[in-house]
Amino acid sequence: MNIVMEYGSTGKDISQINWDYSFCGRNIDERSRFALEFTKNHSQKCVEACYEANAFTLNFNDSESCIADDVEDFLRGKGFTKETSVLLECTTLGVSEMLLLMQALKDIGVVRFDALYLEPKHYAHKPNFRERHHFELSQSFDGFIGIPGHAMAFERGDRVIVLCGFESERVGSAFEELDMMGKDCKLVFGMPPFIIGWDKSTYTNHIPVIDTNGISKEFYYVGASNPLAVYDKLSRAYISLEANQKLFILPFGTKPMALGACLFKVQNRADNLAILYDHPVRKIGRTTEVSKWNLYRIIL
Amino acid sequence: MLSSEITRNRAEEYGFDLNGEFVIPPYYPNLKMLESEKPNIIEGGRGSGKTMLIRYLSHATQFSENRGVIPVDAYKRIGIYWKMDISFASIMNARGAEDDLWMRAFINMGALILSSEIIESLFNICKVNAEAKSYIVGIDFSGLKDFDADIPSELDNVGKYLHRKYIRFQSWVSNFKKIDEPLFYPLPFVDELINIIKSQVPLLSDSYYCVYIDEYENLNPTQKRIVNTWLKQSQKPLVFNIAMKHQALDVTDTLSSEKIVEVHDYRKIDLEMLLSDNFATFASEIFLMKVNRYLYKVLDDVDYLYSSENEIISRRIDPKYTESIRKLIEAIFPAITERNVAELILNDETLRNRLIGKLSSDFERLDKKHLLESVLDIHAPAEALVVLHALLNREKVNADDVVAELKGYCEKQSPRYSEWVHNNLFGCILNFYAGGNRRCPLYSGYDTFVTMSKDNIRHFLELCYTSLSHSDDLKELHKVSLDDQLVAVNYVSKNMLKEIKQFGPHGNMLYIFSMRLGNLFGELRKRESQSEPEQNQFSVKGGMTAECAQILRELVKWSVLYETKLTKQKGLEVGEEYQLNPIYSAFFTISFRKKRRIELTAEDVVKLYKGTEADYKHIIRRMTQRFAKPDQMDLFEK
Repeated sequence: MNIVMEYGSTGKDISQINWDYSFCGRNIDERSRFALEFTKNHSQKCVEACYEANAFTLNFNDSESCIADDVEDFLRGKGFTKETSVLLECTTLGVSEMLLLMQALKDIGVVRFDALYLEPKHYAHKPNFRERHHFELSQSFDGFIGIPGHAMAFERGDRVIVLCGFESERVGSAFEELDMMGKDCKLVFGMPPFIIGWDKSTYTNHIPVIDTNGISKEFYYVGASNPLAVYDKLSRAYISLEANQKLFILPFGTKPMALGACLFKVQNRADNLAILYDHPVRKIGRTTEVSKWNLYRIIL
Repeated sequence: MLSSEITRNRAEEYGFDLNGEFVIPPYYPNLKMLESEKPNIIEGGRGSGKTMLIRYLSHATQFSENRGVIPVDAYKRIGIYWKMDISFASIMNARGAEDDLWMRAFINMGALILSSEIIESLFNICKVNAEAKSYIVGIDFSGLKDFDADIPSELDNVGKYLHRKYIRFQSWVSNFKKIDEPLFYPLPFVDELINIIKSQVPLLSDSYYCVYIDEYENLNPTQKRIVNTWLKQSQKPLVFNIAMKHQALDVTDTLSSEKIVEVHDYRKIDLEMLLSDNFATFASEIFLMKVNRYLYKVLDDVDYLYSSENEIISRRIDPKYTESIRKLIEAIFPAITERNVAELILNDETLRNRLIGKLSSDFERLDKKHLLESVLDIHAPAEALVVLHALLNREKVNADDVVAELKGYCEKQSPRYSEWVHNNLFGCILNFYAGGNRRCPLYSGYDTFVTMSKDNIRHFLELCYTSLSHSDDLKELHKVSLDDQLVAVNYVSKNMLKEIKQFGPHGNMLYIFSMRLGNLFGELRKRESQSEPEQNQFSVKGGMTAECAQILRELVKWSVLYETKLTKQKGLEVGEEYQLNPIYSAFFTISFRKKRRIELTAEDVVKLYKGTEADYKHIIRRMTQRFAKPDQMDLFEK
């Protein structure tokens, strides 16, 4: 597996490819608008994909849907082959959609696809000084609902890696729901962050969760926009598992970090690896302006 | 820096063997009902100790090598703890398959987990009972081959086989269209396993297994119906119990047309209700046990705290004993009275000037400037001066009368002014400090910690541990200073409030509700007249709507609100009142005491939960009837 990473300050700075298909999510903020415009202009067909965690269905353009277990068959039915060139527009797609689509592409035999991600310049947050580290990113969560094909049951002694973002309460919720012990949980922070200083908010927000749950203070760092570094970090943790242990990945960090986690899961279809996710409902207008354009050219 | 050993405050962090960790709760003798074969529903909010209790009752603790002598009774009723991975259980639903498939799958999961736990309990018994071990290692499990021809007959291999089968089952659930369906076990598989054990191990011939399913509320409705069916059909040798938060039993259906009914099918055990009379002593014992173990000797002996003998537990609720515990912990967390706080205000130059400044403005506004001098001349007690500002802001106030009463109070001859002090001092102090940048000393002391915790052991311990960790000279002085306590209380209050975000899928909305309600009480506290001090509860006026009831239910379930029957019925109010969890009070500088309530409509409650900022501001305006300007404070005030 390898990723060639292209980046620039505008869409013109990355490869101008014409993809057969692109998958995207909804337009919820300024950078979504730029990302969708670029995607539509550079693909034969642009399809909006939206996963409903409670119903286990992946909806396409609000007109067609398939259950999570049938995405491969659905895409084959639409003419996808291993030759189809595909772009995943990850600025707007959710983590579940990315994971299910990537798994389906892999099962179809696609070995190369691309992922686009536009970094935000600002996150919307409360004007209140007391809450300056809190960004208003998620409206609510569907909760920890397994994603078919990627869920296993957590058992005492299993290992957990959390890719951390701003919302530390998501880590707290995982501890509420699972029989996890802090010592079995490792946190991965995005360093360097998209914008210098944002890492401080991530650390600050996580301090109480770390204290309350006795989480291991041996932290890991990967570039916030570097999926390959996440892949590498997960590989190391995965090979150190003991017999009968499973590794659970909680992709709560940046989208490129989640991309690395999804790639790792897709490349390792085993019964000792799982993704645990809480399906946030993202707030409209959560970011403003665009900082950096990233095009990840993925070779499975 | 305190060791993480002392600050562990979640049951999950202790593992399954709780010997030397679990202090027997004083209600333990009342749990005799746990020994009957009738199922129990154990209810308690977050931090009430229910997970610790049921883990204590389970085999890892009961047959622990650290336990010393194992009483014969322990072999009779063997506890099995089961907390389901809800994320995984959730995918046994829909996905284009018939309900029946997922029901059989869920039952199979139950059979596999319970069987593995029963085998694990045998290994634990082997560690503590040599005689039983000689029988256990020789158990022939071939009777299970009627269910599964491939299952091994020897103890060592059965456990491994069941675990491998469980992992394969998980893979199948996750990829059920790509992997062949495995052989499912029905629940009678577990019965057969138990019967094999009972018939071959004399010590266990009369035993039965008690399953405790933790956090039942997280199951989906079909899974709840299955568990309810197990509960209803419970009989020896396999009895099912469930543990859940308050107001979480929302499905009473079983797989048949019958429902589960309290008393007939189960008994309800409300841990908070059982603990309420002895909460303070019990929570203190846990804390002192930790201090004793990790910091310095504070108790002569701690072994009695782990004894479940009735006689020893009775001694722990004896007033003489509880008083001794109280004195020990009060010495660590000294309190300050309201009157002493008032004296602190007068003895501090900055605070005194601020108070006098307020009084000066009051008299000026009332055109009675000359009275200020006479008030200061009489050297009134501090508490009388602190409430005077509120009294001068009351409607239709007669400043001459108030000052005359104040003079009478100084001569101990004004019952009226005494009553004003009694009713208003607490609220006036809160409001005074809220307007400045000093922490209000009322949030200190052991009694305050108890009140703020409101029967929540986790919150109480968090207040204590955080106070200790902020104290530099604890080991020398064996007490935490007022300032260190206040820093800790603020820290805990803020963190607990943030923790609301992690309360289930609607955590963010619950958090918004709590912030808005707390701020509303904060705004109401700002009334200079303090005519309705210490408002921190509400009741629902007019009709209750389904949406409002649903929101309140969720808030009560997570102990963000405490629900009690209305103490004073007024007009059309419905019969409950709701108090914001007092652990959050310090963050908003509102009272932690259960005092006065306001009236909200069902629509207000919904708006506090999911309304816009404009909706919320409208409620604030309506409730406060003014655009309050916060007190101007000196930027350089320390």
